Amino acid sequence: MIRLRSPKNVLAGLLFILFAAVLGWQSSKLELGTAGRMGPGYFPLLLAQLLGLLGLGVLVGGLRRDGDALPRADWLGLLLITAAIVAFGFILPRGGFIAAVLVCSALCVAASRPFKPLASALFILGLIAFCTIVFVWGLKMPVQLLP
Amino acid sequence: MLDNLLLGFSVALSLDNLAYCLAGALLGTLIGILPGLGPAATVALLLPITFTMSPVSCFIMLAGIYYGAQYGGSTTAILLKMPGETSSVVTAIDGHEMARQGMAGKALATAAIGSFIAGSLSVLLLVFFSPPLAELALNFGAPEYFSVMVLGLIVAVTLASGSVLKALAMVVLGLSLGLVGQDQFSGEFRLTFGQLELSGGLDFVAVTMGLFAVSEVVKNLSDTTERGVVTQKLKGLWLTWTDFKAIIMPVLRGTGIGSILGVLPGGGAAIASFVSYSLEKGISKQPETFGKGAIAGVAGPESANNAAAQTSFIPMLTLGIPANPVMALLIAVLIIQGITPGPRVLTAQPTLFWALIASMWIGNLMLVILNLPLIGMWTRLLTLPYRYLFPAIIVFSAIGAYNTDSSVFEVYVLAAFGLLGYLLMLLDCEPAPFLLGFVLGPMLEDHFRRSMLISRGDPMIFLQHPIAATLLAIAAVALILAVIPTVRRKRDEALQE
Repeated sequence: MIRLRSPKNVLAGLLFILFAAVLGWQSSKLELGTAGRMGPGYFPLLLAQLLGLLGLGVLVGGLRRDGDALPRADWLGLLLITAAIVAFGFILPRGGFIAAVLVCSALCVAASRPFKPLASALFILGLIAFCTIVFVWGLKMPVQLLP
Repeated sequence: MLDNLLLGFSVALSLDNLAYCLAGALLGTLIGILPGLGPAATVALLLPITFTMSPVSCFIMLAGIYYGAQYGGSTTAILLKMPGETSSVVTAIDGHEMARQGMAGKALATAAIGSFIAGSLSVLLLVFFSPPLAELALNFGAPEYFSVMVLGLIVAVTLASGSVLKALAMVVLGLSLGLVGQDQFSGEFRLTFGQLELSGGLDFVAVTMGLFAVSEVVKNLSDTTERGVVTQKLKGLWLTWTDFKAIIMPVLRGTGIGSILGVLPGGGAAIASFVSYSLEKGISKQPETFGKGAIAGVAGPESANNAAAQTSFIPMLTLGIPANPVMALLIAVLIIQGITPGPRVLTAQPTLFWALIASMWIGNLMLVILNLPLIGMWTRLLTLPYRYLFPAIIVFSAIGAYNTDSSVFEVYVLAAFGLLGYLLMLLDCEPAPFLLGFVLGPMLEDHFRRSMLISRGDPMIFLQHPIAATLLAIAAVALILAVIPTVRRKRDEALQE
C-alpha cells in the first residue's frame, strides 16, 4: 500500500482532479470551435486540462513529500450549520420568515458549546425581532412573515 | 486636478455621504474587533442593501468598512493579543507587550496616529498615480488585458501563504466556476447542469459569504478559548513629543512599504505589515527591544497595513483588477451598478473616483477622532461570547443570499460554498485566490477569445504585443522565483514570522 506522506495534499489533489473531470465532461458536450473562432466549450476545456494537471501535481507531491496530518474536523458543527442554512431556504417560501429564522438560529445554537437553553431561547427571540425590524420592515425584504 | 479634488470633497462632504462614511468606518471598526467576520464577508453581506444606493455613496460606505477594519483589528491585537485581521498579526507582538507594561493607551494612540498619517499620504499616491495609469490602460487591447489579468493572478498566487501549486489550482478552479452561466458570445448555457437558476452564473454574494463567513464560523465552533481583556483603565491615549519623534520615521517607512505592496494582488496589507516589522527590527539601534514593547514595532506595521489598504484601490479603479477579495467585491458592485470596471471609470465617473478619494481622507480623520474616545466601548464588545455572535452571522448570511435576487436558490448556493470552503480550509487551500479567479473568469475568457480572434488562432499574439509580452514575462519570472526552493523558504519564513 502506498503511504500517504501528506494526506492534505493527496486529498486536495484528488478533489482538484474530480472538479477537473466534471468540468471537462461538461465542457466537452459544448461546441469547441477552433482556436481562431472559439466555441463556448473551448476555454472551459482548457481550464479543465490545466486544473487536472495542477491537481495531479498536488497529488504526486502529496505522495512523495511529507506533510502535516489532517486536522480534526468538526463534522457535527459543519452538518448543523449547513443544515441551518438549507433549512432557512427550505422553510422561507413555505413557513414564512419568522419560522425560517427560528429554525435556522436554533440549529446554529445547537452547534454551540457550551449549550445554555434559557439564554439561547432569549437570544433567538431577540434575533427574530431584530431581523424582522431591520430586514423586513426597514429594508422591505419581499417575504411573508407568517405562512 | 485641484478642481477634481474640490468636486470630490463637495460630494463627499454632503450630509448623506458623510453619514455613509461614518457608518462604514464604524461598522468596519466593529467587525475588525469581532473575530470570525472579516471585511470581505461584511461587504458581501451588505451588497444587496447597496442595490438601491447611488454608486458614490455605496463606494464610500464599503471603502469605510475596509479601512475601518484595519483600525479595529489593531485594537484587539494590542489589548488582547488577538488580531482581528491578519494584517494586524505583527502589531500583536509589541503592541500587546506595551499594553502589559501599562502603556496600552500609548500603543493604541501610536496605531491610530500612524494609520492616519499613512492613510493621508497614500491617498496622495492614488491621486497622482491613478489618472496616468488609467490613461496608459486606455490604449490596452485584448492581449494586454489578458496579460495584465494573468500577471495579477500569478502575483496573488505567489504572495499567498502555503503551496504555490495549490494556490494556482484554486485560481483555476475559481476561473472555471466563474464561467458558469450563459456564454457571452454564443448565448449557450454552460456548466449549469440544466438548472435554470444557474443561467445568470453562480451568485457572487452567496459564493463569497459561503467561503469567507460560513466556513469561518464552522472553523471557530471548536475554538472555545475564553477571551480575557486587559482590564486596566485606559489612560494616556495620546503621544508626547518624544514619542512622536520616535514613531515618525517608522511611520514614513511603513507608509512607503505599504504603498508599494498594496498595489500588488494578494494579501498586500498583511505582507506589508510583516515586511515593515522586519525592516524596523533590522535597522533599529536596539533590536533586542523588539518583542518587548518597542513602539516602532507598532508604528511601522500599523502604518504599512493602512497604506496598503488604500493603495490596493489603484489597480481596481484603473484597470478593473482586484488586489484582494474586498476589491473583487467592489468590482462586483461596479458591475451591479451598471458601470464597466476598467480605465474608463476615471473619465466616465469622475465624481465616483474623486469623492471616494475625498471620503478616504474624511474617513481616516473620523476614525482617529472617534475611535480613541470610543475604545472603552469597543473593548466591552470584546467580552461578547462567540456563541451569540455566530448564529447571527449565519442568519444574516442566509438573509443576504436570499436578498440578492429574492430566490432561495442562492441560499442553497451559500450552503454549498460554506461546505466546500470548510473542506478546502481543512486541506490548506486558501479561498482568496479562488475568489480573485472567480471574479476575473469571464473577463479573462473574453479577452483571450478576442485576442485569438484577432490573430486567427495564433497564440504568438501575446508575445508580439510588447506590453503584453512584458507583463507575461514578469508573471513567468514571479512564478519561477516562487517555486525555487531557497526563495520559497525565505518567503515562508517571512510569512510565518
